Amino acid sequence: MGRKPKETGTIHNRLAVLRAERALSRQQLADAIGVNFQTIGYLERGDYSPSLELAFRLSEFFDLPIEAIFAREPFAPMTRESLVREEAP
Amino acid sequence: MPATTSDVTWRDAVTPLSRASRRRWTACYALLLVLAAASVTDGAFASDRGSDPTTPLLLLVAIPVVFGMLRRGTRRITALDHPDLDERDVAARNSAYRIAFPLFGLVVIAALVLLVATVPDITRTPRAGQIATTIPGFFVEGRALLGLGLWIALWAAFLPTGVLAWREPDALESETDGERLSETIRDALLGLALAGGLAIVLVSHSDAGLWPFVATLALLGALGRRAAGQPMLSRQRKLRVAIGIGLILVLLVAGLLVSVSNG
Repeated sequence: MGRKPKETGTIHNRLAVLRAERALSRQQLADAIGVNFQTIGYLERGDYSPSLELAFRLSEFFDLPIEAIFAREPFAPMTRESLVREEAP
Repeated sequence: MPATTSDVTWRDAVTPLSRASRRRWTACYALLLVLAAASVTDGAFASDRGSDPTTPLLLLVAIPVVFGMLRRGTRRITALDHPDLDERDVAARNSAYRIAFPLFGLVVIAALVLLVATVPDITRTPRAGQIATTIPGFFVEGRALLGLGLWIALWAAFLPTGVLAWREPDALESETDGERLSETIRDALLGLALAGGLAIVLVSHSDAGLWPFVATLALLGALGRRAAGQPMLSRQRKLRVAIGIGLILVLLVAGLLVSVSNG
C-alpha cells in the first residue's frame, strides 16, 4: 500500500455572507465564538481552515448545519440557491 | 487600538501589517544581526568609541526597534505565556517554532564554523615532568565568547518571530482603526534612514548615523497620527518635547559654563 496523499484542499465557507446578513462586525463575531478578529478574517479569506470544534461553534452561533456554512466545493451564490428552491415543486 | 480612544504612537505607525512588509523587515533584522557581528569581528561597521572599535549605537538601537516591529506585526503570538491565543494562533505559533528550531541549529553551526575560521591559532606547550607536548588550539577572549553567546541568543529570540512574520498572511486592519500610512512609503522612508545611517557609520565610524533613524521614527509617528486624524503632537507630547528641549539647553549651557571656567 502506498502512502496516504496529504490533503491540501481548501475549505470554502459562507462566513462573510452570514456575518453581513446579521450586520455583525468581525470583532463582534470573534467575541461571540471566542477567537481573535484576525482569525475571522483569515477564515473568510480562506487562509485558515477551522478545527471541527470551531466549525461546530460557528454552526451553533448561526443556528445552521455545518454543511450550510462550510463545504469542500465553492458555494453557489445564495440568491441562485434560493431561486432554485422556490422553483422546485 | 481604536483611534478614537487611544493615541497613535510611533510604534503603531511602524508596525508592519502586510506580509510583504513583514518579510522586508525580517530580512532587514537578519542583516542587522550580521552587521552587528561584522562590527565586532571586522571593524568596518564599528564605531570608534573609547579605545576599541565597538558596535555602533545605530545597530544597538535598530536591532530592538526592528525586533519590536516584528513582534507587534505578529501580535506577539510567539510569546509562550500569551493569554489570548485562539486555535489558529496556537497552530501558527507551534508551526513557527517547528521551523525555527532547525534554523537555529544552522545558525549555531555557522557561527561555530566562522569562529573556528576567524580566531587566531595558538600552540600551547605544557611541560608534564620532563616531556614537553605541543597542543594546537584557538585563542578566544572571554569577552568575545560572551559576545558570541549574546549574538546566538539574539538569533534564538528572533527566529520564531521571524518565521511567523515571514509566513503569516496579511493582517486585517482593525474595523475601529483610522487611516494608516502606506506601508510601502513608510518602509521606504525607514529603510532609507537606516541605510543612510549605516553609510554614515561606515564612512565616519561615529554614532552620528543614529540620528536620521531616530528622526525618521519620530516623523513616522507624527505622520501616523495625522493619517489617523489626530494632532501630530498631542498636548502631553508637546509638554514632553518642551521639557526635553529645555533639559538639553540646560545641559548645553552648563557644559559651556564649565568649559569657559576651565579656560
